Amino acid sequence: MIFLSSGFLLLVGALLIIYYVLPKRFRYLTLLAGSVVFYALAGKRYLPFLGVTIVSVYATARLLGRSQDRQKQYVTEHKKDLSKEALAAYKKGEGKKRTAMFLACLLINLGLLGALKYTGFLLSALRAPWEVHWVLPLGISFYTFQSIGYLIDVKRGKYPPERNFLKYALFASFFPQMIQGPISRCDMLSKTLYEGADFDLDRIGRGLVRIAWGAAKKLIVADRLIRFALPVFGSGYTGSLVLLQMVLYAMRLYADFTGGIDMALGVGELFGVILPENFDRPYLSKSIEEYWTRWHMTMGSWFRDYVFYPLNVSKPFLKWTKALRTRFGNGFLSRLPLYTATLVTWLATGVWHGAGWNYALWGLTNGVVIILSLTLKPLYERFHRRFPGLKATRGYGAFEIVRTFLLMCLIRLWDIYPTPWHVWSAFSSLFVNFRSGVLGSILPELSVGTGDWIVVLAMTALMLFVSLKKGEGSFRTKYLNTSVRLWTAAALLLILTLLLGAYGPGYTASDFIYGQF
Amino acid sequence: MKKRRNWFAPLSVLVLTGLLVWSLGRLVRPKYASGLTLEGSMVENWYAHAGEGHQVLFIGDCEVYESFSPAALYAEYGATSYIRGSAQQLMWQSYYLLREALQKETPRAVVLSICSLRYSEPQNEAYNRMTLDGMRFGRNKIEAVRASLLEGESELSYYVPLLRYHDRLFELTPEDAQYLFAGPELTYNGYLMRTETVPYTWLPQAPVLKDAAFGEKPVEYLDRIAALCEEKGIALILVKSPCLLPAWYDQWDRWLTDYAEVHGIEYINAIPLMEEMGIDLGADTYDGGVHLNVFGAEKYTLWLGAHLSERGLLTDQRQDPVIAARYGDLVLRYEQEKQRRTEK
Repeated sequence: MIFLSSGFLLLVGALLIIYYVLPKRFRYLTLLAGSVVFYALAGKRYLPFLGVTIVSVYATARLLGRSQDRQKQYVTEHKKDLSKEALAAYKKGEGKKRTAMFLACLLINLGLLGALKYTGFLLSALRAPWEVHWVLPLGISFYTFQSIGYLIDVKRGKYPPERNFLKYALFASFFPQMIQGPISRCDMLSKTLYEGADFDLDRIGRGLVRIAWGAAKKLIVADRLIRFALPVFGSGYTGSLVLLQMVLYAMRLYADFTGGIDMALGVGELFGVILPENFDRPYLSKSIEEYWTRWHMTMGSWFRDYVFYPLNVSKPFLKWTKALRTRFGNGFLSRLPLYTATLVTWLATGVWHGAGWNYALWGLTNGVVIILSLTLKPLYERFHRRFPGLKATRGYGAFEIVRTFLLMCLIRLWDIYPTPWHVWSAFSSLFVNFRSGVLGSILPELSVGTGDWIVVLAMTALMLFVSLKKGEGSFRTKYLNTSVRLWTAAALLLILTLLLGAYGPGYTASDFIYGQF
Repeated sequence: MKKRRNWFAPLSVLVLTGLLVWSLGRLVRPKYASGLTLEGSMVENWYAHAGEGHQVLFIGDCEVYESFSPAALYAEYGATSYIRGSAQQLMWQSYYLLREALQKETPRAVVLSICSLRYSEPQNEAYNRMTLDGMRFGRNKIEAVRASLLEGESELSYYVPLLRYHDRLFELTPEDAQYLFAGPELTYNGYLMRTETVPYTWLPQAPVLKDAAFGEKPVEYLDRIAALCEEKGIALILVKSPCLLPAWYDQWDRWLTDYAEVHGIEYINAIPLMEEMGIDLGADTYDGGVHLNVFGAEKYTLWLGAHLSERGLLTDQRQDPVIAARYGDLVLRYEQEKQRRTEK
């Protein structure tokens, strides 16, 4: 069951009516019931896996919370009659207990994720004589990471654990974010998830615009681009075709992923639930570091907060940094721990995306490029000191955007081609076998008509226009600021999608690309 | 007062969107106005004549809409009739089309082609579409669609044609604009005229029938048709037209003879009656014996007309000025077209 099925639309419609009919204090239960129905419709056999995660994380978080409360109370009560050392020893003992509980829960959930997602790959990598084809529950990577994030926050004492089991279950399973995120934080999401929103027609209109915009991106661009499969000649690649493939894939991935997220956020908005933004015009980034703060932002910040920072400021890493600084000063070698933490984080990010060497290599490539970019920073700065006005010019800004876009396209070769050999062949063809003339003879032979090109390019231009016009804010807030504009936009987008979308017979029903992660 | 204003924009936009989606659906829907496939607009054409009080209603697949000529029936007997037929119209589709028709009028006789009893399940989307797209939205259409859906087909797309035909946007022709709100009227009260002659010479031998029993589903709908006609006091006549392909087996013939006897209805197998009707498959077929051409259809119609007349099911209405005007035009149009085509 995906966002674009009639079943999903019916479910949302029914929930919307029930949600606003029920008294406010019960409204979150509608969302929980809807989430269970959604997940059950996606596959009843997935439910036990989600159940294990919800129960284990809820129970562990409660135990952690109780331990923290007990510790606070003990410290307050015995502050005067116990020595500092005794209090520290008590705290350490409690801390160890909490860490043990935390690690046990982590083991259950990461073990489940790892076993279901990676066993098949590992067996094949180890050339084991048997194969496994285990079920991979819908959105398991997303809900596992969201739940682990919550558990870490509770352990760190960032906020107390949720006492109400049903409310926690809703946080972990809220249906719009189950397919491809965003990965929410409990303290942010709970503000709007549990309270029960007032009926606000304009907010519902805004939600519908966002859903329709997402559907338009997905159906008009992403799914139509599936048709643009380019041929591969013999055992080699032609650079011009690889370049075209890279650009088309970038367009498709953007339209597909942001479209799905727009729909998820729009559905949330119908119920007054504010899900975190996941994109901020990433293709307008001027560097890869900036790109990763604007693309799949909730995943990036998750890995930053729960993998990179803890690793980089862990005692062994701090010791290592100190030792290297003492020996080598502030040069490249002293930053080895930082680079290691970066590579580990990116390796984990790659592996999170899927079980396969290409995902791991994709992650590592990102890490290496970011490290290179950090290392070369002094050179850039020296260059810009020599040409001080250059950075402020529009031309240079455009150059940086195109450079970053192409760099990300190159890294995504890991995503497009199946093996390192294919990736290398495709990459090298860009420099040694470009043959731009081939395009002229190949393009007319593709199974796409002029109409397909016009539709894809026009919609891409519209996406670019919206990105440029919206600036830092929201296009809807800036330009669709009256009821009439809002509802007209929703209607036009709906009609545009119905008319120009690539769906129905003749098309492969394509699930969201990020749904597979 | 404020609340009413809040609702105004969404409701107005909703209505306009609905209208636009409906109009665009009409625009992109195939019109079947020219080319090889003309059968797709016939079901819709009936609505313009619904409630005219036809004496005879023909229901079924190509074995009615290419075998009976209402114009010839009127010219000879002064009796009004209409054909609710479409390509490979399945038994359950015939039931729902009949039920819809009987909500508007009560004919004296319903002539049902039983050729599609052979199909236990829907066969392909194209035929489904040609029958169901033209039906007006309502209970009959919903039930007909649900009974006919193939695996993977979207039910919603039968009610919102834009969902199915949106990809025709880049293939639109002037015909799509011309027939935006009313499909082309290519038939003569449901009769699709074919004037060519391709004589019957040879047909492949019919494969051995493995299972002589008809499927449960078509028989269930045949029962429902019989019950519906009985309830309304309409004479139901089951017919097998004089068409040689696909094969009509003796076992099926016997089954229908028994069925008709049990239910007190009439079953006519026209294949052995061809000589009596004067049908010569050397001249009266346009595709080597698979379907009748206009000359064969007229002979078959007149034979059936005589039979219905004998049973007292036809009345001469040529004295009725409204009917005379309406059917006078029909016969004139029919004869002119026949002449034009045969003179070619």
